[in-house]
Amino acid sequence: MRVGIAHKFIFGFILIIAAVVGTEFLVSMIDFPEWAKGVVPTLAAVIVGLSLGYLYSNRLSKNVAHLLKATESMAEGDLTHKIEISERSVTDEFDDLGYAINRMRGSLHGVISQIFTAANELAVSTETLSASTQEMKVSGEQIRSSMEDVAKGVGHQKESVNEVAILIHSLGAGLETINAACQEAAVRAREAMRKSEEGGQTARRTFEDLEDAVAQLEGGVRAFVAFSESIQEIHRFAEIISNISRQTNLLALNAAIEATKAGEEGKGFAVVADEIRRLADNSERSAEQISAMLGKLGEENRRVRGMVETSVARVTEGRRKLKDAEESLREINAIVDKNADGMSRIPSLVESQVKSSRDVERLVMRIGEVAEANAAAAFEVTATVQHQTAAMHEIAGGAVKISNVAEDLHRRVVRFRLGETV
Amino acid sequence: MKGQGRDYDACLLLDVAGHTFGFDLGAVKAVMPYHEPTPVPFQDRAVFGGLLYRGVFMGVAGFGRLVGMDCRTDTEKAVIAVIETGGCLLGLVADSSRGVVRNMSGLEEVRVLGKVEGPLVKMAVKAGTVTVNVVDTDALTDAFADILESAR
Repeated sequence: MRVGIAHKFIFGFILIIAAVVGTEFLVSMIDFPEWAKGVVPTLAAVIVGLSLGYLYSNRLSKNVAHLLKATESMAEGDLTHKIEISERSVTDEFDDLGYAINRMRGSLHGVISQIFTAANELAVSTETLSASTQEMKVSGEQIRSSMEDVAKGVGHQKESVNEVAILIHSLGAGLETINAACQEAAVRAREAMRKSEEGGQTARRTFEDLEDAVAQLEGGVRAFVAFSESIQEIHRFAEIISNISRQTNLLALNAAIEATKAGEEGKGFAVVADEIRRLADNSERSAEQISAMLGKLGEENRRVRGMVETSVARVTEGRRKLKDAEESLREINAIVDKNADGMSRIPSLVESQVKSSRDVERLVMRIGEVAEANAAAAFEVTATVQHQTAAMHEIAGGAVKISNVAEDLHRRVVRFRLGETV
Repeated sequence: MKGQGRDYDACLLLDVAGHTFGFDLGAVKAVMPYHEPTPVPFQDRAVFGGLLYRGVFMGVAGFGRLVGMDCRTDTEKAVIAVIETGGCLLGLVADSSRGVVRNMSGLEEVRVLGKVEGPLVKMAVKAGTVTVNVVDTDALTDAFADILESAR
């Protein structure tokens, strides 16, 4: 049952009044002196009043002390102990206050526990944040460095692209020159083919002429051989005549000797013998001259024959070479024909190469533009990374501050004793 | 000119080493083409060997070598002149025969002999454009006999 403090005071007052009234009745019933009749009710009222006062004040004092102890403990941060509230049949405001303080402690315990947990989590998070921002700072520096490298690389790439564009432009110009040269070469190749065919025909005609020449020269060689044999035959006859002349000479000489030895009778014969000897001499000289002439003729014949044979050999060799040359001309003709065919196809190929080189040049120019844009983007990224790095610095500073706050909070919260629940 | 007791006043002309030599026709038996004589060992280099002439063995000598010259036998004009002196036949090898010269006594004598000098040449005469060294056939026979004697 709930009885409030005010009711308790009212009840005490009623008790005092009742004590006064009861005492007055008792006094009236009992024969007391007159002076006592006025003092006894007062004493009864005082005693009841003091007893009730003592009882109430003691009770209030104990309850207040109990609550004060609990609140002081809480004020000191000890949230582990609840206020012990005895189960009584009659409750008052102190019980309500104890329950309220207990509820407050519970709430405060929960809040402090949450703050503690949150502070711990915040400390961990701020440490993580600090580490992350540090890493991000480092990463940002690396990204900035990399982006600067990228910017430099893109700058080089742009220069290279420009050089490639110039080279490809030169290549296109070179290809156009090659195209013109190929067209001219194709014309010349056709001309060469025509001249090669003419050369082949001339070589064939020359070959036929050489065939005739070789046949005639071979006939000449045979004639020279026959002539040489005839000269040899004549030479043999001349030798025979010369031999006969020598013998006749000696015979005439011996006849002249004998005629001379015969004296006057032999004079006529001696003259004849001398004439015969002279004739023999002449014959021998003539035979010798003939032999000498035949020798010269034979030598000349051998020389001419040798020349003709050399000519035949050379003409035969020339004929063979001409045959080779004709064959070579035929092969050259085929090659020139093939080359001319290939040359005629080259201009279209070169034209397509020129077109391709122009496309490549355009693409390279576009690559150059992209490289330029990339360079600008790289610079922007670098600037952004620098901004991010600065922001990271600020975040790191903030994280440090939060960490300090978390530590302070933790320091403040940790003085609360929360028991095993935290 | 005298030779073997018969005066023919004629000479046989033989050419040796570019010189012309005259042999008294009285001593000349015949002129024949050169034939390789049969060699005779251990003789002077002037002696070529021996040959049969009409059944008679005769010695053959190179006339050029006898007068201190060389003689060629490798031509078809080379001849052997058969000389008879002192009853002996002697074959003289010469490069060629030039013929017979008559009326030798009418020829002009050359006072200064050419390069050919020696005991075998007794005089030199001018026959046309040719200088003929007239050979002393007796001295020739003696010289040949001396050569044969020295080889014996």
